[in-house]
Amino acid sequence: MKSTTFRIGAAIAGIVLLLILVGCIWTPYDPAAIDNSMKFASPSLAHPMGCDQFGRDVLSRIMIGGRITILTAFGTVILGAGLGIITGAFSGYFGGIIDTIFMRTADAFLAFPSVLLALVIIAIFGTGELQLVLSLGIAFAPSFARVVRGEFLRSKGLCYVQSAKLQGASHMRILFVHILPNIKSVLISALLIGFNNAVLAEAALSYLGIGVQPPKPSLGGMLAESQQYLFSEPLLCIFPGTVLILLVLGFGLMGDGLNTKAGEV
Amino acid sequence: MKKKLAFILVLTTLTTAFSGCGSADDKTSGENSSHITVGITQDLENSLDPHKAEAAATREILFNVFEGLYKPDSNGELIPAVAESYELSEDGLVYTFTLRDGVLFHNGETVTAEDVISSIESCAGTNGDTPLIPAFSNIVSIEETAEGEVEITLSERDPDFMSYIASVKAAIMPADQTDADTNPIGTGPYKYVSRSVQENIVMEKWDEYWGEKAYIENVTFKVCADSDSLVMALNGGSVDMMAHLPVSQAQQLSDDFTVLEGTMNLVQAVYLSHDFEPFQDERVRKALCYAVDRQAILDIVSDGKGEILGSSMFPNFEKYYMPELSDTYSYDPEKAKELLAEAGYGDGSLSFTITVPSNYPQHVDTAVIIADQLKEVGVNADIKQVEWNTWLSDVYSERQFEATVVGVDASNLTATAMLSRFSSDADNNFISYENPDYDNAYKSALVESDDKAQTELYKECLTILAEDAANVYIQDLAEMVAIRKGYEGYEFYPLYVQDISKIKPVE
Repeated sequence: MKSTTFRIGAAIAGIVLLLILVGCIWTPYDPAAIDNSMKFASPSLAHPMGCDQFGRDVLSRIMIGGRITILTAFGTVILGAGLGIITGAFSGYFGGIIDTIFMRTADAFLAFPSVLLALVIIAIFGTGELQLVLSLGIAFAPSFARVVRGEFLRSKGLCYVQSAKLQGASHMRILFVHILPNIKSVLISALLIGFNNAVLAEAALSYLGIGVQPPKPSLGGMLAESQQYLFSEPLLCIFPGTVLILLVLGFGLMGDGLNTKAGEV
Repeated sequence: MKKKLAFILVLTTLTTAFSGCGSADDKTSGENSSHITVGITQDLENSLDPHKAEAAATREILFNVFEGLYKPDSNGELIPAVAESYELSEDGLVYTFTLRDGVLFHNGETVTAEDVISSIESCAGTNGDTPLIPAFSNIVSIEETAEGEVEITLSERDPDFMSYIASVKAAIMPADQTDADTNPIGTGPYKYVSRSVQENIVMEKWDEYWGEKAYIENVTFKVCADSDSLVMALNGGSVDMMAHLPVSQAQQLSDDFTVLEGTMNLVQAVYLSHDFEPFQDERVRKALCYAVDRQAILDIVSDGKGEILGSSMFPNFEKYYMPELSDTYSYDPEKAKELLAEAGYGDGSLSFTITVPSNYPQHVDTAVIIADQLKEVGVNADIKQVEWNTWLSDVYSERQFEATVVGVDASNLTATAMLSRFSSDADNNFISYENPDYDNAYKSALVESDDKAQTELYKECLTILAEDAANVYIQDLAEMVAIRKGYEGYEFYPLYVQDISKIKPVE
């Protein structure tokens, strides 16, 4: 049984995801098409969310921008979780010197904010979506490693691991076939929270002008662009902001729901 | 827990906007008209010594405190300041300045020939230092020839010499001053009072000023570093006047403000690196010029305000500006496609990156529109935003770029300020432009002694730049100055200058 919190979250995230999925095959307008006659057009039937300072359709831009934001967030989580699971699993299971090396490195990474770390990586590798994923992925890995290490440390003394050992299973098999599936509920909620943080980090970096480059839209970039017009055209900021909030809220509630459930067990 | 982050993000957006640049408590305007608070977006340099001032933002403020022997007026003419008049010898090498009687420094002492000599010498680097004004390395000697007369001898003719003499950098300061970095003492209409780094700089009217005295008693230049909060600062009442406002922000001001329209006196263009292979082909550069619809850029970025340019000179520089060059390339996408096909870059085979400094929204917006327009003719332009310091080091110094959208301005009222950078051996030729015709025209202009003939040669340089499509010239950006109702008299200069002494309260 999934908790109510999880369901509400899934519903909210689902609406936003649906919007973005539709954007993959169809958008009402070309999101980059500039049309001066539609500059700052108010919401209407033709443009449900109005047009921005270049006369570009805001709905189309949110559909495409949301996709770019979500894809970079996915990339970040896959990279970050991948690195985190491997290092965390080894540290937790084997302990000793491996644990010390991995975890002290992770501590060093965690010592300063992940967005700052991402900034440094972007300063070295330049701007672009791939660099964004790379930098955020690396920045996010230590927090996954911590969670995973804790779980492996806890699991390694449990009976089913002991019995697998007695049956002569290899370390790799125990790590990834026996333990990993058993910690999935903790892992999934960590992934969901990580996903949320990645969405926000992408938005923050694009907001600072070093994430996704114009004219490609992204939710953070749209917020940054609309800031100049905050008082004369507040809707330009409200629409992408709302989508961002709903997305994060949805995934956050899903994560919370799973957490509660895991706690009950 | 984490979902709170979403709200925090939104809150941060709002608080940065609302924080403005100060509280409304320090609102003293309106009630007491002999005070004005002027917002500036960039703090001054650490040193307030005008001889060392590098940033335009520093010079535009110090203009109120300092004067040279001559100074520019709002028409771009040079008018006598610390000097009363000057005479030029027939060979054009000896300038004899007659000093004005009874000009006082802000510390109460009279300006003497000794002060003038030491100030010019420090700019010329006669004591062995690098000259602070490179053009002054041409000075052979500076002497006091008679009571109140200073004679400057040059090694070769320089028709621009007076423009350098009139710049804030050649300001006259007391000869015996040792703390010029922190305590600027000049002869200008305003006297320095105090400075708080990253916060403000305060000045008061100098009552003993030799010329027409300022109208407003106290001036505070307030640093508003966050350019997004300027509108809040103005509407909220903490700032009375602000220059260099983009059109989009000026439009959001309340009725309490008079918005004056001018131009920024810079040349905004897509500067093309001539080291990048496709741009070495004249046809490609011309194609880009034909593919860009300048009027559309003006319409979208600044509601049609601004001046379309065709070469490296802006309209307020009337002596050299050639309005006809703006029509060299009319918007003609078909012709652009033809030229591209001829050059072998037909149908989507030309791609390049436009590097833009991210702190200038007007340049970023222009780049976005240009990328869209270039798509029409099958050219793929990517945009890469960089921080201003990265731009300075990578693009300007290292010349590691393909194309960039920026504005280039003039540091003083000379044609060389705009044109020297395009001669092939110039250090600041960041686009690596090499054209023997241009080099010839520019070199002959430098040595030409007849003013009229020289102007013609400079105009020839401008024509070459336009016809060779050295860069994709776009516009001199519109600049809005907002001033609270209750003040009047703001004057635009063809230089980067904020002259507060002309502003007066409305009776």
